[in-house]
Amino acid sequence: MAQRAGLLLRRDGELAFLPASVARWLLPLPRLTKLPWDSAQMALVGGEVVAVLALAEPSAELLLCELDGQAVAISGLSAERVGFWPASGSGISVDGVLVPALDLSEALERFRSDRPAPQEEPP
Amino acid sequence: MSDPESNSSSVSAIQRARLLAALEATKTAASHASGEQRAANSGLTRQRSDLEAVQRSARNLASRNRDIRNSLQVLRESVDRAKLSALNAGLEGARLGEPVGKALVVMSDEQRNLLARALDTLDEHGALLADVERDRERFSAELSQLSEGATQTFAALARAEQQSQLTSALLDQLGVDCAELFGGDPEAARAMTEAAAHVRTAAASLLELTQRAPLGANALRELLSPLLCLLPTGEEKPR
Repeated sequence: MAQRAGLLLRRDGELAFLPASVARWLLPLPRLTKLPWDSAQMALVGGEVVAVLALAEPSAELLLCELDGQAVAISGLSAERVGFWPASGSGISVDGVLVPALDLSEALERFRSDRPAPQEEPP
Repeated sequence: MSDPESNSSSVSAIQRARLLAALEATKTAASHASGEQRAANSGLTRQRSDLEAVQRSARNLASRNRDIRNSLQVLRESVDRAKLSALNAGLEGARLGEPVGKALVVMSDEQRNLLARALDTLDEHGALLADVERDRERFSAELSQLSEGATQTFAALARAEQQSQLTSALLDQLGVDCAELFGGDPEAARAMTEAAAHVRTAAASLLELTQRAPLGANALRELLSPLLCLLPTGEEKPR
């Protein structure tokens, strides 16, 4: 059976899998800056500004990923283990339990399509 | 001022002596009570000092608890960082793929397990420290109550000592007034009281003897009656 290498993590209490080709680096949660009139957040990681996708309530760590050649940070995840597990569908099988792969492209698409909130007109 | 001679007519010498002796005894008792109060005051002062030292120790303990809590927090942050480092090393190994990266992944997993145990232990230490802090707070509250009680007792004792001194002064004045009224002095009064007590004892002994005298006479009569029978009576005429 084919093996998949990657990161086993927890999101809202549920286990999820992220391939090692996507997950690049874990770091303590830095200061997140919210853009004015927008729900997007940014963080300074290794001297570079990266967009932060909030998948859940922020935890103590931030996961730096590479999606389509772009660096994207993800908050609200808690890393559990790293390893090689048997592939099962789009995810993996951990001790006989199916763990789905985390679909970041959907979250990224939602992030890109979010329109800024309309500015309130002064009275 | 009253005339001692006119007072002597209404109060007997024994009564005067008793009154003066009772006054002396009361003064002595008041003096002893005052001494005991001073001793209690001194002991209470020492206890308050000890109590303050214990309160200082409790405050120092709180400060040390804070230091330990801060150290535990630093340790926890360090272990969290180390755990992330172990996971990052594992990610590098996972990217290298099998079999090259396998050893790195296994090593990082072992590190992560050890660090997870360290985090659990730190959590236990944090909980224990919180228990100690709660106990210390309760202890401090009880110490404060003790201190408050000691302060109140100290004030009450000071008031009692003042009252005792006032009582002694009043008794002194009463002694002077009695001496002026009855024309006696305390030493003579004491001697008279002792003499009266001796007289009372002697009188009681005499009374007891008097009560026993008829019994002795009867016994003597029984003993002497055979001899009396042998003696000639006055009614018999000599031959």
